[in-house]
Amino acid sequence: MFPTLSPRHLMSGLTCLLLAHSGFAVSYSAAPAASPTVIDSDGDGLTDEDERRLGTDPFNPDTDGDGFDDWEEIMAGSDPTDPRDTPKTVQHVSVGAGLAASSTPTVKHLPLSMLMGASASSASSTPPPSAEFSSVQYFAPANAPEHLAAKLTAIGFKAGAYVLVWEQRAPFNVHNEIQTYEVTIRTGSGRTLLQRKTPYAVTPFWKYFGLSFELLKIDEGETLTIEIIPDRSGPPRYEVLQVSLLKMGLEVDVDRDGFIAPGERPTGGKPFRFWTNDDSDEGESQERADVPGRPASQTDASRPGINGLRDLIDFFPINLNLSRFVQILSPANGYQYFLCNEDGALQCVETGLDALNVGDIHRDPDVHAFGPDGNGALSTASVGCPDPQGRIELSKAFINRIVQKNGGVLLVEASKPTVHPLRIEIMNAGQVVASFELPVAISSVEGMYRHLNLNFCTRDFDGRPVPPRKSGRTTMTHEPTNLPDAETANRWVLMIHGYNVDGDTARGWHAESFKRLYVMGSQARFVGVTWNGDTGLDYHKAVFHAFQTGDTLAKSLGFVDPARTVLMAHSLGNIVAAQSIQAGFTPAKYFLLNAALPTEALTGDATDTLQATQMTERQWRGYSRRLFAADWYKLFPVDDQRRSYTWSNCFGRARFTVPLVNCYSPGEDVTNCPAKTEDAAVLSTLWAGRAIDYGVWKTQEMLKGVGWARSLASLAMERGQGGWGFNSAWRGAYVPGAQSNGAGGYYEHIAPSLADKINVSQLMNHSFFQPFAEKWLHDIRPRRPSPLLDDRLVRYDLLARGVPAMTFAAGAVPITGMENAQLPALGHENVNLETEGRISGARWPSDGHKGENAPGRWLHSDFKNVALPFVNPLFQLMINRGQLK
Amino acid sequence: MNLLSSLILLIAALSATATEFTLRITDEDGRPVADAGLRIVLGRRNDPRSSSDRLIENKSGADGKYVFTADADMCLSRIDIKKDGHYSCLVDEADRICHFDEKQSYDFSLPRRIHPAPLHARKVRLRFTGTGLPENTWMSYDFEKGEMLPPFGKGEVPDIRFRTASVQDGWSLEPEELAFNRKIPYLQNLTEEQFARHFGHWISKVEIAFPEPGSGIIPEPKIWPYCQLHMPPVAPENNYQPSLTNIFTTRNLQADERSQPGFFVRTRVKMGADGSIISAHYAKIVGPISYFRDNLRFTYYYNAKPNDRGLELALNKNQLKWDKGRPLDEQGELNINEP
Repeated sequence: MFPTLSPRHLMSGLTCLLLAHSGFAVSYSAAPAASPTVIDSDGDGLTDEDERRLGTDPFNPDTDGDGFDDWEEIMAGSDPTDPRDTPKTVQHVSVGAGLAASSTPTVKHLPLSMLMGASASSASSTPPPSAEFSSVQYFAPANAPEHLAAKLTAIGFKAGAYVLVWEQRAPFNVHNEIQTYEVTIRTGSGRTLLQRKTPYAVTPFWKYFGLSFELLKIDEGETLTIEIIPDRSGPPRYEVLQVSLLKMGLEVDVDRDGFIAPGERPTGGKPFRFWTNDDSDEGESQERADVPGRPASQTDASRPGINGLRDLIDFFPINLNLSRFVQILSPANGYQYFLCNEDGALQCVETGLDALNVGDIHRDPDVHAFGPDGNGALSTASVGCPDPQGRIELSKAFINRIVQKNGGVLLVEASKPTVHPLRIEIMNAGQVVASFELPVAISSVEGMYRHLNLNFCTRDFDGRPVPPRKSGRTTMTHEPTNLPDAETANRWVLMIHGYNVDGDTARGWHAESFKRLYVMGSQARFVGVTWNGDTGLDYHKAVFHAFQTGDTLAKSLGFVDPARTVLMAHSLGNIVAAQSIQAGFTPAKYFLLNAALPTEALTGDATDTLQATQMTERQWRGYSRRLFAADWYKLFPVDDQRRSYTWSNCFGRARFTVPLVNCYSPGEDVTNCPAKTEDAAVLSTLWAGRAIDYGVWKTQEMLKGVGWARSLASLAMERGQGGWGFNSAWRGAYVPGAQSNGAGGYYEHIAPSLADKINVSQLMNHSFFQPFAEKWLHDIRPRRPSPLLDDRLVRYDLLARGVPAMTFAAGAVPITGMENAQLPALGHENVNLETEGRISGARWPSDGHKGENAPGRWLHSDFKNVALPFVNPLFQLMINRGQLK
Repeated sequence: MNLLSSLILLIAALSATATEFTLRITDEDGRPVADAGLRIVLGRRNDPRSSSDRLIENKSGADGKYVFTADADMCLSRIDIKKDGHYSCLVDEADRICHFDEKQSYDFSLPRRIHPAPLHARKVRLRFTGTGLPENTWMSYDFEKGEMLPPFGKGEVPDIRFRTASVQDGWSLEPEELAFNRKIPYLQNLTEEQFARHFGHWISKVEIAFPEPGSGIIPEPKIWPYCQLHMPPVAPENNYQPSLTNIFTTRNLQADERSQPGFFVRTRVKMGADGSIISAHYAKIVGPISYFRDNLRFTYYYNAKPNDRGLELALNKNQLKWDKGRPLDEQGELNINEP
């Protein structure tokens, strides 16, 4: 469809017809290609080649001897070979359809039909009928008072970014004056879209120039007037050629949907927003929290190459839809292409990706688009770094691929913040021929979301404040500087981390979660919540804190719209989240990610025999459940506060008011409840307290109430009560000199059959399990609460430390019995991450993945640890179900 | 502890009883699979750090068996079985394989990879938020479109029909707990029916039928729970029954669901004048057709090629695509990870 382009220097001043079709300019030549050599033997301003075409004498400046040189005659429209035809008056000639010529008769012009001469037939390359943009070439004569070199009009262009490209020269600049053009583009209604001087001085030789401008929606359909005016100090003969108005072709995935549509660029003066690559990613999976804001020498951006699949999230793709440019300004003719940024903040990787599959960097674990040929593995990627001027030269191979593939995708990362645009510069012989820009705003990722620090809201069981070990990022609930609310979809996402996450590490959790949602297209306002779950070995204390934080969170969310908020919590963070709902916060959706809370907390059902048996500590397996701390609440009447001291249904409000999505993985490590764990074993649980081992959630439940003699891990707990400890008041016979204590002896537990005979009143006063620390709880009619604790904290203390769960954790099993569609707006569901959360048929990482015991399985923190391409469906699901776009 | 008791302990440890484990590997037709690569992990009781884990790597014998012994307080943590040309098999603690029995025997099916092909596959969740699934009403589903038929969806061909019904069967809570729940503020707005739906026990029934003669369903008793391919790769040619009724009770929901490992379906049957089948389409439903609290769920694989009984999905070649115009909640799940 596109005719062959004319090479440079076809015929000075002979050709110029610019056509536009569907917003793209098409320039074509009416003449066959000619030698690029510019020879003007008689010095009349027409090259020998031109003169041969025109039939004039290349060695005689005035072929017909009428006193007007050939060039002047050509300019005036008279015949340079006829001495009777001399320049007389200035006139305008329309060329082609839709021509709008200058209304100021101060410039001479050339009738194209005449200049075409014998080659005119090739002008019949029919302009597209919709093209309404045409130009004629103008030459400013010596006496032109307004110095207008060209005035063109264009109609029918759609909104978008464009580059005006043209060739120009001033052939008789014998004094080497510095000469420039001023280029102006105005709409019919008078709005100025562009007013700039040409980027470098005009030379006697043909050179390309390019200037970019943006056409807004309101400008669509307007007539554009393009004026190219030489400065007044210049010589008389300015010439322009090959004027093209091209779509800018510097595109970015603004909506982050995985493909870059033609012309996709930020609009309305907004920049494309992204973050600096200032964290430290590694491989395909890493447990270490990826905290942003590392020292410059330790960031991924400071290292060569792409640091594994995880690092890809810190790159954004741009598409150089520049095939027309490359055809005109070919590397073969000495044109060089640079990616530039005034701050030198940007680095880039050349890829073989297409605009339509840029999303592969986030959804294909085996993406092959790197290396010299654009089809190598990630390890072959080479990151180009800027020179002191902030420029990175793009390889000729990459630029040439742009023509072959009708575009070329660069992955860009930022080594430091910048608000200066990303610029593509095209240079020739050290001079910028054309440059065009993509507005970007790059900051630390933490400048793109809010943060709520609830680290200081927790008290201990004696009522004293418990300061965090690391305070973490301060609360920031105002509009993020690098993602204004106006650029979001007025949806909110709250992300709550789990246990053993200190204030600094929380920053990594939030950053990674935000990034994953953002690159997958979330338009929501993100809020990271930090809480005091960093309690070392004392997991029970963290649970106690989680309940308290949930209450505080519900009161702290005045800045969000609950009906447009999605709650997202990982592991023990789900106690915080669910308690915030229990305390009155009602989000639109709640995603439980590998939740460390028992299913009974949501369903109110702890009757599953298999689960109850396996969650019963080994020494208790012969006893009736009525003796258990877990079922102690059943001893009390409905109006007794103690009736609520149970995990069962303790987050019932969540189930009845908020659509829940329980994202679980059967093969996960932490919340899995392995059958082989039957009690809180002595030595091994000491380490299990760090939440690093298989089935540790269950072990912690087994640890409740257990003294140091049964598990050394209990030494790490602030206090033990209830749970699986036995009340010595119900001890059985004394066994002297027994094996476990050679020096003395021990008391047997009474037989289950005997324990069954203990009546309800006795159990109220003297529980079969180790009594709760707040002794007044065991009064038949408790008269007072603890002098230090209110009832709320008593309950949380008991659930955290004294009441074991009798069902498995929701993080590893579906919550059966949760679904119920009969309540308006509710549609609970379980999502098996191992089948629905990861890429279908794809491999699963092994390097860096803590899967020695469970290779190939989705472990507890894999939603964050494993590189996004593996777990892309989970984030897609959250964005879709949470309506975050 | 004196020397004698130490010695007794040592002897006891040395003479600890051992358990014999037998693994038997067969193909889809029950024939022994020799030389299947086995990777077995055993762990000791109460060892969260898995420091006692023992790895055994070996191959099955000519009879498809592999027998080994281990201490009685060790149980299986994980078994990987692989062989070229076969679907692999994985079972681990998440599948509750850890037992401390005296003698342990496990059968694994390692079906051959015959002809993976593009299929239409979807995890269907039929529900109507706010109103519940209409009971006592026939609803039809179009496998190829992945849609209910009007008035519930835009499907065109009724491949399978469902009708559900349920009755309350007492309460799931004790009277005291029911009374306690009735006082909870956030439950005050529930109607009595909604309250009963949540806290009652229910017996639900799903009737399955087909629109034309010759179409039908076969409950598949054979199931390979630990294999990538859960059901035989080829649908049976005959013995499809025209209807089926499944019962689910909330008292025993999981067991009820486990009792339905899968189904084969023949649909879109065209019969000749003599009653013979000229053309038919085949599908499989992996797992139960489950109905619980207004949610009807099943996972199907449908072969759009007439008379092709092959039902092995080539992963990444699911022929159903997301419909961008529809709420995703309604579309179930298309990210199918198993063939």
